Formats: sequence, structure tokens, C-alpha cells
Amino acid sequence: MRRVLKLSCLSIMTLLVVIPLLLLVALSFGKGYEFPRVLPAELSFESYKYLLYEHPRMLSITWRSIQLSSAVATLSVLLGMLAGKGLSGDFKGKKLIERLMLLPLLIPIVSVAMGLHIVFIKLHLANKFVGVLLIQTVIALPYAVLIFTDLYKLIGEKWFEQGDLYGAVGHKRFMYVTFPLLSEGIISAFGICFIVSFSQYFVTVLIGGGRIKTFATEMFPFMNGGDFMISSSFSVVFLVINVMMLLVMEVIVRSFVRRGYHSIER
Amino acid sequence: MININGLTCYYNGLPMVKNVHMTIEKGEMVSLVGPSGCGKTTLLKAICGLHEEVDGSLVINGKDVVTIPSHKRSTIMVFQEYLLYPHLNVAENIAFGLKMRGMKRKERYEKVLPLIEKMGLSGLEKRYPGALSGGQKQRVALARALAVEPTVLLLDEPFSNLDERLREDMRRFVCDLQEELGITTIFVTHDIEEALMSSNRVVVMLDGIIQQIDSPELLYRKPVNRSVAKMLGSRTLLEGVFRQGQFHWQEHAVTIPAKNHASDMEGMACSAVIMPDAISFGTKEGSDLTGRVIKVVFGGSKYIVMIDVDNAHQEFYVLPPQHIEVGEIVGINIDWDSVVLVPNK
Amino acid sequence: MKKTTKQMLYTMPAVIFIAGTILVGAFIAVIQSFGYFPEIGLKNWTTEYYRSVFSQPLLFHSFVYSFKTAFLSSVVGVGFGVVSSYLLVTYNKELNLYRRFLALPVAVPHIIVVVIVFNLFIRTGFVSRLLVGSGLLESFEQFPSLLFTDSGFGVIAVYFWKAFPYTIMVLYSVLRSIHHQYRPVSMNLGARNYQYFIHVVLPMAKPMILTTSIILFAFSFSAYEVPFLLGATVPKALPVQAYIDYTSPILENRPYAMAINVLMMVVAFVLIAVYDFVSSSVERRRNHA
Repeated sequence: MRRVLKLSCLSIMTLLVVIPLLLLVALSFGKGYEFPRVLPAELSFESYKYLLYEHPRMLSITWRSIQLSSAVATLSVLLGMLAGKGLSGDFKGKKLIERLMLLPLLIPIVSVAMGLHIVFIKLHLANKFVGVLLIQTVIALPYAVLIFTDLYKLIGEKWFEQGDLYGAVGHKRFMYVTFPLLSEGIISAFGICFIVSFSQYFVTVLIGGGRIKTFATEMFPFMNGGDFMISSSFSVVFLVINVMMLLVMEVIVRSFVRRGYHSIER
Repeated sequence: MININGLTCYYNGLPMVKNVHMTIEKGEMVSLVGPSGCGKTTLLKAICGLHEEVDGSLVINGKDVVTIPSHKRSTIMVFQEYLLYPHLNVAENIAFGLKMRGMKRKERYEKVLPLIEKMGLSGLEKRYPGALSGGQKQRVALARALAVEPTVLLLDEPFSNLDERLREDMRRFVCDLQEELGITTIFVTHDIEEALMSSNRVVVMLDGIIQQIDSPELLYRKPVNRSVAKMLGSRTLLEGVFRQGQFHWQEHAVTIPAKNHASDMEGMACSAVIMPDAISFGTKEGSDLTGRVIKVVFGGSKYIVMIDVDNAHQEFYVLPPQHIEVGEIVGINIDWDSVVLVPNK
Repeated sequence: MKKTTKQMLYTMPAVIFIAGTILVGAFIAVIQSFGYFPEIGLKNWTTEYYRSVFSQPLLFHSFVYSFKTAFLSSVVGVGFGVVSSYLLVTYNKELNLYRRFLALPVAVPHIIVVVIVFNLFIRTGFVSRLLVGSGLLESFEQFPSLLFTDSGFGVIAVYFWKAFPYTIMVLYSVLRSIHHQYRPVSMNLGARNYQYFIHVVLPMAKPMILTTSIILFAFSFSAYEVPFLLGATVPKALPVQAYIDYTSPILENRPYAMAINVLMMVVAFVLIAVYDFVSSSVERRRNHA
């Protein structure tokens, strides 16, 4: 009896999560959603067609956004790997640095961005791709640091010591020891940083000055408008892009790891 | 007052502890010995109700408790890792069981404070487990169990986590306490010596089956089979067959006194169990057995000597001092009157 | 060079990156809030903007709105999360499927959750259609106005939908290890299930629960996108108000916006201090005499 109760509670919770997502997908493929229809009348790709072809330059904006967020994610992963490695040991001031790393997550980042706006203007970073890239990296970086710190702690020193014994030092060490062990972390850190960057709106508008357009900036105005279908389609495309990027990263990283093993075999 | 009959414990459908029959008297201190994984902790958990896949009968003070959940039995267990609550201080930890039973604060502390004193923990009442030493933690865990006045106290490897010096002190402390309070106690250990030193009776378990239940002296002198003898250690074991009243080992046949073996061993494969003090080395001439020394290992209280006897390598456990060398041909003398013959199992 | 110094150096690039931008940004925000904003022609140090902020009742309502939405969503979200994690942990089997589904929202960005809440709860939304379609309501006008009101419902719903799966994700393994070790002991000592939950599980998980709540609160208090999209027109959430003032054509509003920004940063720092206090005080208590 208690089991049944537990399962039903959990099922309700899960439905709370799943149904809204399913609704999103359903609405994105819909047409003819007059009140009070519960679901759209027909299946149609109309909203997708609008968003990808009719919305001005959407495809190129999307492509640029993917490039931007990939760059942000890559930079975050690199800096995060280093920082994670540093934070896995113990040193004076470690606690302070740990807190510092979490700052962007907890403080109002757009407030900080408003303060930085003037500086960026003076440094000719405003309204430019690079400026937006930098500010988005600051926001995404803490997530990468968290992942790698935990990962390095989990792995511990032993693997690196083993590697040293077998002569894997320097770049060899990175290729054959560090990279494979961290590969899972690299994939998930990239994924999270990509999504964080891809979702940024205010910061992009502020620092990008309206010149830099991203998928998020194009999507934003539709989010609370009247058209369920378009906002849902945007959302679905957004999620699909993110999932695809994650898969792509997984394939790339795993192939590097395998290549490393193959060259060892040779 | 504990009567176990045909108790079998399962794990995922597979029997881990098979068909246990055991009776424990009130106030007895019984140890459960065996190698890691033999099922002794499982049996302990079954007795206190933490292991539920169980068949058979478990009668405590006249009542079959097999179907009674753990929190209603009065069998309290002290875990190997102590498991003190990190968010409670020493006094609160000890009072936990009483709090669960609905006792009011004042009453709880009236019961707990004398116990703290008795366990030598005075002054530590407000400390948290993180700030306690191993021995202190154990005493708190023990006090926590005793606070609820259990009918049966169960200890899972109580001394394994302590270092040498502490172990002996704690062992004595626990034994004295048990005698004073008269609580029926079962404790699990993999250390034979500890079991022999601390209990009224020893239960030997191997592979989920109880091999022998005897007093320490009886167990020590007369192990019931080869596996138990091997577990006791430091005994020379010669493998052979019992035929027509004699023990046949390789080409030798020896008569073993009837009191030193079971009566119905005809035709059985068996082992001669020889204590170190029953073996001496001498010259070739005048000895029953001779052989060539292959290896000599010194182990403090004993020597382990590997000798080639009749083209077979055999290990002999002997007492120091010995002055033999590798390669030597020695004569081996065995006091066969003290040798015990046991079935091979 | 010493190993520990080397470790610290590894963190330097990231540290410089973050500290550099944040400290610079915060510093400039502070200066600008005190009126020194030469780029738009203001050169006098003054506290008039702060006085303005504190004397506006509207701003106070904004603060309350931000606080309320952050607080309710965090508390209810964490509450649901704790209960769900506990249910997952105490069920006999692994329940991996449930766990995987319940973790989905963590990967969904807030702006998409806004769409989801919008689709569900706007007056002509899914829930309303269900009610009208089944005859419980006669028309969408009878459906209450949930979004864009000063109740903050939409905002709270969005943060809630993300908070409780996040809590489950964070809490599950902690609860699992507590359960594995401490349930047998507690049962043996006479605790019943509800006693075990209240006196063992909750206290042991308390630090983690508190820090998670603080993180969620800090994040929702300071965030812009969600209240901008789903919040009331009046009062606007604090961050939204600041952005509107900053981008307003009236240049004098910028230092005013910065004053609001600085105040929000102060709140955030207070929260970080509380977080620190909670995590280290528990550590201190449990590890030292």
C-alpha cells in the first residue's frame, strides 16, 4: 500500500515535468489553435517555416550564435580545466578563490554588466562579437569550474603518478592520461556552458548593443506574445540545437580518446 | 533463552546462512567466528531484525520474533562503523533510542548521565562524534545500545577498527561490563584469539553453515573438522584415510587413541591435527619419519617448516627454538597420543 | 616551485577573468551610483540617487515582489525536491526512469520554461482550455488572471519548475548514502519511519538543503529574464526596474539604475555570507570539540 502511494506521488511529480514539455512539442507542430481547442487542429510545420526561413536572416543568425556559444564554451572549458586542477589541491586562500568562482552565479550579473558597459565601450569591445563572448564566458565559467573541481577531486593524484612512472609526461601526459580521464567532464561542461551562453539575452543586448544578434535575441520577443506555436517552435529548435551540440561534442571527444588509444597500440 | 531452529537467511533468493540450530542461555557471551563473507554478520542482522529474507524460527524469551520488525524487538546491535549521528552530541546520541520511545527530556538525561559515567565518557557529553577518538566513539555506540536496556546485545566486529593497544583494553572493558550487567551478548569477529579470550562459547561458521559450537578450550583442543582446524591456525595437518582403526598417511599407518577421534570414521578421508608442541626434530636414526628440509619461516611464536617427506611437500608447525637448515635431512618425531583425527570438510 | 603555489597558479587565468570583470563592473557601478558618470556629463558626487531609491514606495514594492517570488519558489521548490528525493531513495528498487525524467528541467533554460508556463497558465492557455473543454468553466474570462499580476504566480511557477528537479539532483545521492548507513541503526534503536525522517534524515541533510535554497534564492532574486517576461507591470521586479531605468532615454535615470544595481549586489553579498556561515558553522560544529 505504501509502495503504491509512493509511486503515485512520484508519478505525479514526473508528469508535472513531462507534460509541459510534451505540450511544447505538440504546440510547435500545430496549426489552428483557436480557443477552446485543447490541442491544435492540424499538424503543420508552419511555425518552423516562419522561424527558419521567413524571419529575417534567421539561419545565419542561428549559425553565428552556435559559433559564439561554442567559442564561449570552449574558452570556459579550458579555463575551467585549469582552475579545477588548481582547486583540487590545498593552498592558502583556496576558500576565497572558491567563493570568487561562484560569484557570477549568485550576484546580479546584468547589474555588473551595466557597470562594465562603459568600460567595454572605451575598450572598443562594445557592440562587438568579442565583447559579448567575453561577458558570456564570465557567466558560464563557474559551471565549468564546479564540474572540473569535483572531477579532479574524484580522480585524485594516483592516475597522474602512475602515468609519471610510465614516462607519460608533458604533452604525452595530457593526451594519454589527463584527457581520457576528463573526457566525460569536458563533454558535460561544454554542454552546460553552451546552453548558458546560448540562453543569454539581456547581457547580449546590453553589451552587444543590438548589433550582435543571437538566437536568443531573436527568440525573446516572441516569448510572451500571443502566438503559442511560434514560441513553442523557437523553444523546440533551441533545445534541439543544444542537444545536437552535446552529441557532436561527445562524438568529437570520444574519437580523440580512441585515437589516443590507437596510437598507444601502435 | 535464545532458541534458533532451522534458520536460513537469503540474499536475493540465494541462501547465505543455512539451517542454523543454536541455543544461547541468558547472560551468556557468545562469539561468532569465521572468515570474511561466511555469513556471520548476516546471521547477526537476522537476529536483530535488520535482515528480512529469513526462514525458520527465532525464539527469544519464548516468543518467535521472525515476523516482528526490528524496532519492536529488544535486540540492539552495535555496528562495526559505529554510525554515531554526526548532528547529535554524545549525550544526545546515547539518548536517541530513549527519545524514539517517547521518553521526556528530563527522564532521558536521568538515565543517560549515569551510563556516561560508567562508560568512562564523563566530560564528553557535549562533544560531537567528529571530535572523538576511535575508542571513545565505540564506547558511545555501546552506551547508545545499552541505554535502551536490550534483551540481547549484538556486536559486529567491535574491535576491528581499533589499533592493537586499544583493542586489548576495550576487550577487557566490554567483557567486564557484560559480566556485570549480565546481558546476553553475541559478538562477531574474524579474530580467533579474540573469540577464545572473550566468550563463554564460540560458534564457528564457514560458508553460511555452523561447523561447531563449543567452549573455547574444547574448540581449541578438538576442532570438529579440517576446515575448523585450519581456521584455528598453527596446526600441522596431515591428510590421509582412516581404515581398520588406523590412520593411513602416505606409506605410514598409525594408531590414534580412540578418545581423539569420532567413532564412525571408517573409510573416511581425514586429517591428523598436530599441535606444535607435539612435534620435535631429531636425527634420522630413531625417528618414525624422515625428510629433507625445503624451507624454514620464522613466525615469532612458531616456525613453519616445509619438509619433503616421501616425495611430498608437507608443512610442519613447530615451536621455537629450532636449529635446522634448509637442505638438511631431519628425523620428525610426533607424539601421536595427543593427535586429534578429524574428517576432511 | 612548491606544489601548492603551482596549484594556485592554475586557477589564476579563471580567477583573473572572473574577478577582473566582476570587480571592475561592481566598482564602476558603485561610482556611477554616487553620481560620478562623466560619460553622460555627471561629475558631482552625491547620494541623491540613493535617497531617491529609498524614498520611492514603488521601489519598495519592487523589492518585496522580487523577494517574495524568489523566496516562495525556492522554499516550495526545495520542499517538493526533498520529499521527492526521499520517496526515490526509500523505494526499494532503483527507479532510474523516474530519476531521469525528473532531471530534465535542469537542462531547460529559463526562457523556455517561461514559454511552458505561458502555454499552460495564460487565460487562453492549456489549463484554461482543459477546464472550459470539460465544462468546468464557461469561458476563458472565468479563468483567473494568473500571469502578469502582482502575485508573481508566473515567475514563481517558472522558478519552481526548475528548483525542484535541481534539488532532487543535488540531494538524491546525499540522501542515499545517509539512508544506506543510518536507516538500519535508527530502525534498530526503535525509530519508526516518520521519526527516522524527522530526527535523522532532515537534520543530516540540513546543510545541503539550506545551501541549495540559498543558491536558488540568490539566483532568482537577481535574475532578469523571467520577471521581465512574466512579471507584473506594476510592481516590476527589481532587476527589471533597473534595466528599464538604465536604458531609458532620460540620462539621469542611469545613476538611479546603478543605485538599484548596487543595492542588489549588496543583497547578493549578504546571501553569499549567509551561505558561507551556514556551511562552515556546521562543519565547525561537527569536526571540533
